[in-house]
Amino acid sequence: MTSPALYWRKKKTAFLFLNKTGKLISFTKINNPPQGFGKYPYWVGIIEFEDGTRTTGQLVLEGEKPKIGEKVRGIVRKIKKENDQEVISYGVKFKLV
Amino acid sequence: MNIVINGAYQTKFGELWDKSLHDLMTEAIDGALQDAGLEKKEIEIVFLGNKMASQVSDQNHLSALVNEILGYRIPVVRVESACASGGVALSQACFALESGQYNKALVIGAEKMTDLPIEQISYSLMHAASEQERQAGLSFVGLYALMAKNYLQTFGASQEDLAYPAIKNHKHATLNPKAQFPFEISLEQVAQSALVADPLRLLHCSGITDGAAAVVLENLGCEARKNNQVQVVASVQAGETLALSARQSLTTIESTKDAAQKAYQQAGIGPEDISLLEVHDCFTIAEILAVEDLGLCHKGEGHIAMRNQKFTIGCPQPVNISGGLKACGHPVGATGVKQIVELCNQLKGRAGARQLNKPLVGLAHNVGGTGGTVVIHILKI
Repeated sequence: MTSPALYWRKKKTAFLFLNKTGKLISFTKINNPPQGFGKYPYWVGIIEFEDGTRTTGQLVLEGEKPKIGEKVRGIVRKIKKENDQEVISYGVKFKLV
Repeated sequence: MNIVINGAYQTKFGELWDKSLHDLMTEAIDGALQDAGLEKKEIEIVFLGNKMASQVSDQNHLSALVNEILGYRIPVVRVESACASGGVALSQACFALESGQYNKALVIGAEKMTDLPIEQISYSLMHAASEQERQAGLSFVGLYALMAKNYLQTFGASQEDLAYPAIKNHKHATLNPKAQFPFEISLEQVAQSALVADPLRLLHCSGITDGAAAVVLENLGCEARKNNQVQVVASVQAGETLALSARQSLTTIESTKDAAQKAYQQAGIGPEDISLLEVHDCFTIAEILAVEDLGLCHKGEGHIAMRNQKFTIGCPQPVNISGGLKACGHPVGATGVKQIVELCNQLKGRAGARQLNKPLVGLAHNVGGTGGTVVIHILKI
């Protein structure tokens, strides 16, 4: 179970890129999720913002095929929930603009 | 620096279901000491590279385990630097010998990986990535896929170009009885293998491997080197950020460039003087970046050199004669030491079917994570 202190600390940085627009530097589709990341493939990218800062995050796609250089924006999504007793972890994922 | 390698040994690499971490370490230590013609008691200090014994074998405090295997009491240092653990163990041993406090050191790299299911080992390997990368669910193949995708786009390379290092290394592995995958693969087989993380396919990736390797080092001090003694002429470690996103480029591993520059300087040679190289090809894109960053070809041309078979056995500067991480296997903490064992065997002219014609200088390039740690050693006969 996530410790309350850990959850509290993560809140400080979890939403830094919310609503921010950046461009895709690279991306990939993880077809074999490691333990704790479910059974279904997901997309991950490196995003660069206007000030040159970069971050890594999951991409939320609805059938679109991303391209390097394409614009994306940070949105709130569920990140993780280990089990029914666990606090749901929310954070930022990115969708194509 | 007047450090020589007197003994070198590698266990078989593979899915070794009947061997524990303890068994692998014992075999490697005994093998290296026998090769050096030394008794256990003559070793004064041990450096051990291991990444994941706590996750796979529930075992930490490996230094004391080495003392138990040796059967007597000496200082043992365990180092962890992800997949560069073995290389860092060796460079630390060189420091210890150069300090003058010790004359003979043993370096061992050992890893047991196949006891965990694949999803778990995949997650354990992610401990070598940044917190942000872990939270995004980036497996290690995912991280290298991000580098590969960017490389293909930047330099106009095709997905097919990613296959050539794997085809070459599998070909080399057919000549290595210690290799995990000693069989050839075709361009078509690579193209048809499962897509793990776009654009990387299964046959672009090294496997999950058990194995160990060990070398015995001696500081000769003012003593002259005997014929057929392999000398360590450069030992350099360099560093880089943990996260890929904290770097400006995804197509250059700056730590490899830094380490290479210093290593060539230490050895007083250039990349053109190297007879053979063991480079860190955990994924084929890593070998392409390595030959570029080590100065064997220009940036962006590594994939072309690979396509033209410039680094295959029979060429002036063969890369990964052992089969590399891809086909000889990649027991992560052992890899950096195994590269040294391979170079020693080649330089001493005892590499069997894959022996080159009198090579003089070998280079080992060992990478931790996505380049957060890089270690380069240059050996001479």
